[in-house]
Order: sequence, then C-alpha cells, then structure tokens
Amino acid sequence: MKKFALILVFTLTAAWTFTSCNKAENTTDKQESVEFDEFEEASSEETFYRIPSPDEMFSFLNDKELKYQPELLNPSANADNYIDRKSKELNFGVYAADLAYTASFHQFQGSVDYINIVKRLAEDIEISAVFNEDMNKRIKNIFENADTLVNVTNATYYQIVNYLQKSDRNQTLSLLTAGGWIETLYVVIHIIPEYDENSATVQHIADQKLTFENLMLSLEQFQEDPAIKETIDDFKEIGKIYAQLKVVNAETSTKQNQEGNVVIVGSKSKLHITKEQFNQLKQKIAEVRNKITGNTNV
Amino acid sequence: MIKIVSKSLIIAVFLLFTANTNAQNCAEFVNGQSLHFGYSFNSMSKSGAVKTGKKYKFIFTLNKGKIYRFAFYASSGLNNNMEFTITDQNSALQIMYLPGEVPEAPLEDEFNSEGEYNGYDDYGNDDYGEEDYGYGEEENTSSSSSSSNTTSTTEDLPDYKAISGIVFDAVLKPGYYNGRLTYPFFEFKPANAMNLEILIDIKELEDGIIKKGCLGLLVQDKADELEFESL
Repeated sequence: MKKFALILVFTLTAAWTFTSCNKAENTTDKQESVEFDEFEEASSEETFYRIPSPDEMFSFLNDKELKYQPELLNPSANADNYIDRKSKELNFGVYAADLAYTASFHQFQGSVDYINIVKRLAEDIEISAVFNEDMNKRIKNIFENADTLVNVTNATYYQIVNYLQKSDRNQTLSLLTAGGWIETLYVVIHIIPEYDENSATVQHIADQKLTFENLMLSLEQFQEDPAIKETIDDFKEIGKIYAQLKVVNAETSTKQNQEGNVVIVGSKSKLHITKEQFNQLKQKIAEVRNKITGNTNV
Repeated sequence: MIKIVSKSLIIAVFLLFTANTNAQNCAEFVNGQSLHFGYSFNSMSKSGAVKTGKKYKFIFTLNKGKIYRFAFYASSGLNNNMEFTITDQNSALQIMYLPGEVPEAPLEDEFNSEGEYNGYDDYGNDDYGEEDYGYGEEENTSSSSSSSNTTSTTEDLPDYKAISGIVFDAVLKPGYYNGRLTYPFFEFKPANAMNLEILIDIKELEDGIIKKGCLGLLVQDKADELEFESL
C-alpha cells in the first residue's frame, strides 16, 4: 500500500508537471503561466539595459528618397554557413534586423522570406517555441492587413527577447541584440546616398552612440562568455570612432508642443558627426558586420 | 493504509497548490494591457518578478522624433510602496522623483487647475485604450513637494515642463477616475536622443517579510508630428 501511495503521488506530480509544460509551450507568445525570475539576483540593485529594436531605427526612415535596397541585406543562403553557437546567435539578430527592414518598406515577400529564415535559425538555437500557433497565425495575417506587418515583426522581436530573458539565456540575448544592432546600422548607414550634416538620418546614426554604449554595457555583463568577449573586442573598434564625436549645442532644435502631460526631457546638446567620422564609422561597421555574416561586400 | 494514502494525497494536493500559486504570470503585466490610443507597442517594454527591499534600474535609449509613454503595473502584494526616480543620464539631471505611496486616490478636483488629464477624453475613446492616468502638473513649480529627497527641482530645469502636485497612486494601486480604471504613466518627448534611467525602489515591508510580485513597464511610442515633419 505504501508503494501504491508513492506511485499515486508520483503520478499526480508527473501529471501536473506535464500539463504545466504543455501550457507553457502553448502560450509562449503571450508569456503566460511561466515563472521567470530574471529580476532575481543576490544584489540589492539590478540594472536592465533596454535596447531599441531594429524596427525603431527603421521607423525613422521616412525619407522618400531612401529606396529599398535588398542587396544590402544578408543573403538567406548564408544561413547554412553558420555552424557554431556564436555565429548562429549573432546572425539570428542580423536576420531579425533584415526582417524589420523589409517590413518597414512593406516588402511582403521579402518579409516572409526573412521570417522563414528567422524561424529556421530559431530552431537551431532552440527558441522555436516563440513561433507558436498564435504567432504563426499573426504572421499569416500580414497579407490581409499591411499595417500589421511592422506590428508583427515588432511583436516577434519582443517575444524573442522576453523568451530568452525568462529562459535565463541572457548571453544568447546579448549576441542577438548585438547582431541586430550592427545589421540595422549597416543598412541605415549604407542606404543614405551621401553624408549630409543636416540629415536627420545622419543624426540618428550619430545618436546610435547612446545605444552602442548601452549595448556594450549589456554585453560586458556576460564577458566571461568567450563568444561575447570576442564580440566585445570586435565592437570596441566601433566605440573608438564614436568616442571622437563631439557634443554640440542644439538649443533651437526642439519644437515645443503642448500635449497635455508630455514632459520634454533631454539636454539642449546633441552629438555631431563629421563627414570623416561618418565615413570611418561606415567602413568599420561594414567590417564588423561582414565578419559576423561572412560577407565580403561592403 | 488508508491513512498513508490520505497523507500522500494531501501532500500531492499541497504540492500542486503551492507550485501553481508560486507561478508568476508577470508577462501579462505587459502583454495583457491595451495600447493607448495613437501609440504603438515598443519592444523595450519589460515585465518580470520583483521583490520588496530591492531596487530595479532600467536604462532606455530614447530617440528624438518620438513621444514615449511609460505605463507601470505592479502586483498589489508589493504593498503599493515604491519610489520612482527618473534621470536623464546624459545630463545627470534628475527629471522627477516620485514617492510611491499616496494615501488616498485623488479626487477629480485634485487634478491640476488646467485639467490636463481630462484632455484624454478628447480622443472620444472611452472604450479604447489603456485606461490609465498620470499626474497633475503645473508649470514653474518644484518637482515634488511631497518629497524631501528630490535632488533637483524644476528651477534647475527651466525648459522642462514641471511636475508638481503629483497625482500618483504608486501602483500601482489603480483607481477609478471618471469611471475609468487608471494606472500611472509618464509621457516623455526627448529634446534630443538620450538615455533615460528609471530607478524603481520597492520598499522593504515594515515587518521585514520579503514579498514577491510582478512589475510591468509597458513602453509605447508614437511619432512626434512636430519633429517628424522635419526628418
């Protein structure tokens, strides 16, 4: 009877565990029902660096003169070349950025192609649970409503980030974020025809110094990981160029609006990038990005 | 024998119960919220499990040309007692300091004299949106009259829209205003690209018991039409 009782307890516990796991798998995209204590650490204060997703940078590209240039993106065929964990995770971020780019230009077929690559790499790095039934349904629906294309890619990115955080895979997240950032900047810096001091896009490229600094701090949290250490070393060269940027007065640059509760924040100064620095950055970004993707084009 | 079976069943049921109640559904503190009218979801949003007696710092990179809306949601088990310190990292200026606990939910007439909050009704979308509220505000007054810990006042920040008379119900305990369930939020318009630091200090409980709960920071954004035209 003792044996029976033990079996009963075991069976009940196992049954509960099984149903819980299924539940978690089925609701991943909504992040439901899964305990995650990524905030849990021994120290009394924790810091979280929130890096904007690639789509946010692309959302500023509303200049009609900026044409869609798919040749800048990492070819889908390259996905087969990424064998080790580091290259898979970095290039997962690269392809996620390419997906955001195609989506921002409302390129449906291109977006679907990149979604498929992202899904394939997701399996390789064991995060395919992100693409559950709900997410796949949303992806299919993009053909019915153009407005949801960007929303879906944005939501996908967020679900991936959260999935990695709750799975305590912060190293993977760091590499993915680094890959996404470098690809985003690579694309943006190459689609503008030439340096223009007054270009808003050039200003956004200069402003990426702030994101870069957060990204590096985020990576440094896990620098004991050799893959991340190597990535930090590669990215340091970019940091040297960003370090040259000067802060200039921008007192008259902000138009005051009178929205009810909006608080205007930020200093009256802004980063300024010279043509020489811009070209140096462009070259360095291409070098680092092509090292990651294995491409030879600049 | 029956006793053993019964005990085993009790243990099993206990295990099931405790395991399930411990499970945090923190993601719903972001995913479960509706977006405010006119805003899009920003993937810098964050949710997770937190506990009393700890501080959580979030660094956000904000871009010029957008208006950002940060809405906060938290478990009631955290005792509605947390402090927010929001700082512009680039200038190291503290933008606002918000003490967590407000004894009573504000009455409608405690909103600022210009009634900015009611402005949200202008959207004519009572059934749409996040159903939240922010704070009262007046120009040219100190940033937090209720806190002695404020390190800088808006006198130091003449061009910032000043915050005062904070109508802030910590969590974070949502209240009903004009018949709408409301949560705290802040809206920021970066004058230039910047890093915004939000430090959330979840206060220790008086009895020393550590409580766990969920915290959600829903970040939304929209194009700042005034700035975007020039991009």
